[in-house]
Amino acid sequence: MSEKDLTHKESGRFYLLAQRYDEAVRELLKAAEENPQDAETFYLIGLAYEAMRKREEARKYYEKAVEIDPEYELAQERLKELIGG
Amino acid sequence: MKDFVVIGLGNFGSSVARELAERKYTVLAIDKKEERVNEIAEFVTHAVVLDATDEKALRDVGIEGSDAAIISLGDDVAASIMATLIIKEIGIPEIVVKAVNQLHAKVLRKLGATRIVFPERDMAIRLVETLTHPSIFEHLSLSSSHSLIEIVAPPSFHDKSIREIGLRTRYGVNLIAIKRPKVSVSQKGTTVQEEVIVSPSPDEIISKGDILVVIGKTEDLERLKKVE
Repeated sequence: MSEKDLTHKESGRFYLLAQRYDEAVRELLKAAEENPQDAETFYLIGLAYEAMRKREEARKYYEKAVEIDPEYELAQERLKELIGG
Repeated sequence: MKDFVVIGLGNFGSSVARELAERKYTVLAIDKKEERVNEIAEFVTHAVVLDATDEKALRDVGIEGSDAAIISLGDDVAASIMATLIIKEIGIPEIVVKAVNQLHAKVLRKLGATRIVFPERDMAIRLVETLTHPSIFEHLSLSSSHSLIEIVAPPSFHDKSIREIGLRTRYGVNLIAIKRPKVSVSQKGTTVQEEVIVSPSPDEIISKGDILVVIGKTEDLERLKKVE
């Protein structure tokens, strides 16, 4: 992972914690573009969308995180929560 | 602590029985099909194979002291009516019955059911509401004219106080609570939880992602749903 990826991802996490979800998504999408195999980045995008109550988008990104890392428990938990059952 | 008897262990009845048992209530679960009784036996206080239209058998199993009965016998309207009548005669004070249609409900009311439920219809109404309005997370009918809804705060409300928005003065609805997403970092990692602000102060600022839990007249709520 390059330093730049870390910057985008960590800025994204910062915005997420600051409840600035649009900016979080913008930063995290850049991180995802540069490092498309990092499951956590996709998971964090899912969190931002879930916090904005955009369930469809959230589901899509959680699924992507689980596709990259099938053992990703947090992403699986969020998916279960979103889909129900 | 209330004692419950659940008669009919299909999807609805068995869910009710398990949920009550999980909340540590005494539950007697009854069905005439042995496999259904076996399936639930490990979760509830007692599980008995029994025909609920057989008054003697019901009395013998000792349900007389129960506080409430939940009767859910699927499409078998005749059995449901018989069971309700018997339970009423036994003297259980609270009798909740699952009805299949309005006529069935009418008969159950006359027989003394204290509450009639239509779980499929109620769930269908709630589902349609959330499907047709993506911003609606929950819809609960309080009466023919009033409802409680959970609605995602529209963009024009963001970063404004409840007072400024004028939910009561301008829209005629009452805000009960705000559900606010909270992203946090724990040892497990970053995750999102929901914080509930009950009876928020008029100075509370609405944020993006907030869900407003409001009660109001149907027409006022419809107006609120159209706000962008």
